[in-house]
Amino acid sequence: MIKLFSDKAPSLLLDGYIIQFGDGYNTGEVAKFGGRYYKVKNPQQVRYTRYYIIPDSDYIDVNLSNASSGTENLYPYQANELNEILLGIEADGTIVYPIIPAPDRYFQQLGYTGMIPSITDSTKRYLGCLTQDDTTKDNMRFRMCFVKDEDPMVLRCYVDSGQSYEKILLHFLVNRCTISKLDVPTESQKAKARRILRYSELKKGGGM
Amino acid sequence: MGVAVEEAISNETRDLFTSPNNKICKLTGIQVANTDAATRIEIQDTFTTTTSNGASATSVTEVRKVIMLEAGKTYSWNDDEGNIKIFGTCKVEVPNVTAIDVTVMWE
Repeated sequence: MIKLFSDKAPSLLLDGYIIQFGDGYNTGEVAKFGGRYYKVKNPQQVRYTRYYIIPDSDYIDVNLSNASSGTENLYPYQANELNEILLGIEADGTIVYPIIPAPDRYFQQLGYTGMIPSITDSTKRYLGCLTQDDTTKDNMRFRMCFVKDEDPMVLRCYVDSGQSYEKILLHFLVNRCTISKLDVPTESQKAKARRILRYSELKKGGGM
Repeated sequence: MGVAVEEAISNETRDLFTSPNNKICKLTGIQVANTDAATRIEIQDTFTTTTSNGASATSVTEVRKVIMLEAGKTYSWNDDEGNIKIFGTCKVEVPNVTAIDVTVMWE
C-alpha cells in the first residue's frame, strides 16, 4: 500500500482490525501473503525523524528497507509483522520521488511515452513527486505498508536550484503491527477487511 | 523558542545555539549593542552536510546575516515569519577589536 491521501492523514490500523493482502503479494519474497486474511494485534506507534543536509541541484536516495548497510531499516524484522508508515516532509524547495523497486522504478508516472520523472529535465523534474505541500509533519498524508522482505523502496530527495543548501527532514510515524493469519475467516471478517494492495497493484505502467 | 546572549565580543567567533537534528531553527530576532569601535558583524550557520549523489560530507559555514554597526550604536531586527533558517550551529563573528553585545532569539 503506497498512497497519497487527498485531504487529511489516514487512520492507522488498530488492534483487532482485519486486513487482506492483495494478489500482488502472490510473487517474490512476499508470496505467502497474497490474498490471505490477517488480524492486527497490538500495534505500536513509533516516531522517527531523519535529517539530511545537501547542496542544491543534488539529491540523496533514502532507502527505507533493511536490505543492506546505509538503509533506514524501517521494514519489519519479523515475518509476522506489518509496518504501516506515514511520511511527513519538512524542507523548502525539495522534491521527493517514491521509487519502488529501487533503484530506478518511479512509482508515480503518466501513461504517455516518456512521461516519467527526470531530475535532469527541467520540466519532468516536477512530475510524479511529493513536496512538503502534500504531506507535512502535522498532516502526514502519504502512507506506505511493508512486510518483511518487501522490495526496497527509495525516497529520492532532490533539492531544487536556488537553495544553496537545504536541510531535509523526513518525519516517519511507524505503526508496528503484529499480524496473525486467519485460516478460515468468517464472511463478516471478509466483509470488513481492509485491503492492503502491493505497489505492483497500485503502480500504473507506461511512460517508458 | 530560545534566547542566546553573548557579551563583550571582540575579534572572535562565538557559538550562540545549535539547531537540533530533528528541527530547522529559525531566527526571529537579533539585538546588537556596540559599545566600542565600528565593525562588521556576521551571523553564521555551521553544519556538516550529508553524503549525497554528487558530494561527500563536508563542514560548511554559511553567512546568514551581515550587520554593519557604527561605534556606540545599537541594532534591532525582528522577523516573526522566521525567514532565516539555521541548520547547525548558529555563531556570531566580530572580526574587529571592539566590544559587541548580541542577543539572538529563535524558534
